[in-house]
Amino acid sequence: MFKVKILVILCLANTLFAQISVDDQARFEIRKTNVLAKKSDKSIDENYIYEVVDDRFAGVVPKTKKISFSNYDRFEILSKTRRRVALNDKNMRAAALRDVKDLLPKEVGDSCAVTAVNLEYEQKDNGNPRVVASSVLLHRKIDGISVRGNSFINMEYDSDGNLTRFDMRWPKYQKRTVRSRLSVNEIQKSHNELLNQRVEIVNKDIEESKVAVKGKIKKSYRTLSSIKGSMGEEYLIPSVTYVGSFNGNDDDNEIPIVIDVPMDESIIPQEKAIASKW
Amino acid sequence: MVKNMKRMLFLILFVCSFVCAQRQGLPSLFSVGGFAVQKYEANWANEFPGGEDGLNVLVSSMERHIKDKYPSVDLSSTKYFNSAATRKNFLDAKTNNLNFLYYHGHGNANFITMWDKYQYVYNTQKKFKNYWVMLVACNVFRNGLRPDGKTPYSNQDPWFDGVHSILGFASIVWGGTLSRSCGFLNLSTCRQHSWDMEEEFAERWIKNKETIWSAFKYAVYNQLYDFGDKYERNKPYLKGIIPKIVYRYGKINGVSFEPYEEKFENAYQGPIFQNNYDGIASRWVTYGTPAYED
Repeated sequence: MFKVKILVILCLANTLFAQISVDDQARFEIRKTNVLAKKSDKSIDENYIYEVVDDRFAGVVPKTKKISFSNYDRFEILSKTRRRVALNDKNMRAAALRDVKDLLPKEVGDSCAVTAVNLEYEQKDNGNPRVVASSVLLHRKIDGISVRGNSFINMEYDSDGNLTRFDMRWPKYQKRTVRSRLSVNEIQKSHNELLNQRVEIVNKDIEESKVAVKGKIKKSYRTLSSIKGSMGEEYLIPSVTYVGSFNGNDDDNEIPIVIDVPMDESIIPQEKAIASKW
Repeated sequence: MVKNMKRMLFLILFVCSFVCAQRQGLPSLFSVGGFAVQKYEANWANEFPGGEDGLNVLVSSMERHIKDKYPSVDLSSTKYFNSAATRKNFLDAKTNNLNFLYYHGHGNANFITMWDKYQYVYNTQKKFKNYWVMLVACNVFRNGLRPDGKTPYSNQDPWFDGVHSILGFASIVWGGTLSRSCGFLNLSTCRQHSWDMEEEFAERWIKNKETIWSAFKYAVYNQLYDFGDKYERNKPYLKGIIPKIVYRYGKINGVSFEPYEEKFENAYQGPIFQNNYDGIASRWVTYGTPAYED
């Protein structure tokens, strides 16, 4: 535990250093890294990884028609609710959580959280735009930590807020304890290098497009993000997800941007990676 | 005599109601193609990566799914890349023969840019007669009002002359490939391609039989934005984007029709709403900024 605390402190110091080096040359800034520090209080007390052991959700969802696609299942609602709610962020979050709990097994309902509400607008002639549909994205939580990618439910609603269908991917994971092959210093260095690399990609893109002026990271979250081993096996590994935004040249709208950076990529099990070389 | 004439008139009207009705279904020939301006003459505009692959992937994916699902439909394609993607060629009447017309290049409210130096095509200069058009260009259908507070940024109706719907963007658009190190000890390279959007659009619209708008908005969401890594590509980052569909609406064969709902296998054949229509409409999606609990 002591080692972990040292790691958190050093990680913070190093991230702040990264902030300066990024700011010097880039238009996409890393700010508010103190958020990362606060969140990291709930730090990992051991190195672990989750491996996908079954790709599909095995449960039955009553009153739906299931259609399987290559990477997810779609459930079409056969008897819609008779809801009449205004489509806005607050109402749709509540509706989605209620519908998940009504339709899906308790263990699913208890282990997911809304991560984004999307709104669809319609404008006819010169009338004011009105919201006509919504989709709500929920991500899974494992051991209380949000999963970025590969475990999600995307719920689609009509203009009255009634669920019409949802897409779902909900694999079975197996938790494994693993050992890092890096020292504490190397872990921090590797994390910061990855973060800087990805910020550089954003900056290069912004520079090439000449449509965006500047942006910044506003929040960071402890998450589990998916990563593939060299044999194609799928893992979830502890990560930090940085959420920010940038502005266009002639546009006041803020455009969101999200960067996932694993805490320590070296914990990906070695044996399969080595096997792949033969 | 009068009775016979009435019968004859009724028969003519009855037959005409079938003959004159706009047919819905599959086309006997489906032609797809378009213009990809990835590089510009003497670099008068910045390179916009992903255009050549976008056009190639769209055409090959559509053809593959049509061959699989609807083998009786004949196919043809036409592609104009870079120096062939001129203003003259774009405005040429023969582009109207394409059922699905694709464009990839720079744009802004009400115009797109062509290969030739300082050559633009404005909404008042091209009236689409194709069934469907996709404009992968920034801000052509930008929302909101200009600084005068009265004039909308984009005026969409002038583009229409029979085209069922036009797919485009009310925001900036991104193209190309993102590469990064990944995998064990960062020894592998992971790549994300913007033209996965065109591929997923074709798959959803033709193979999965979704409506044109549903196919487009989710293809954009999954491939140009983010969708919880549905396609397992471990994307390095995501960016906001606003896909938009624009269409005229009204009645066809006496039935109300809004072309955002059009499906490939049940599409109206021929131009629609050239003269008689109720108005113009559009739909767009704003994707919420992800927020996680921890």
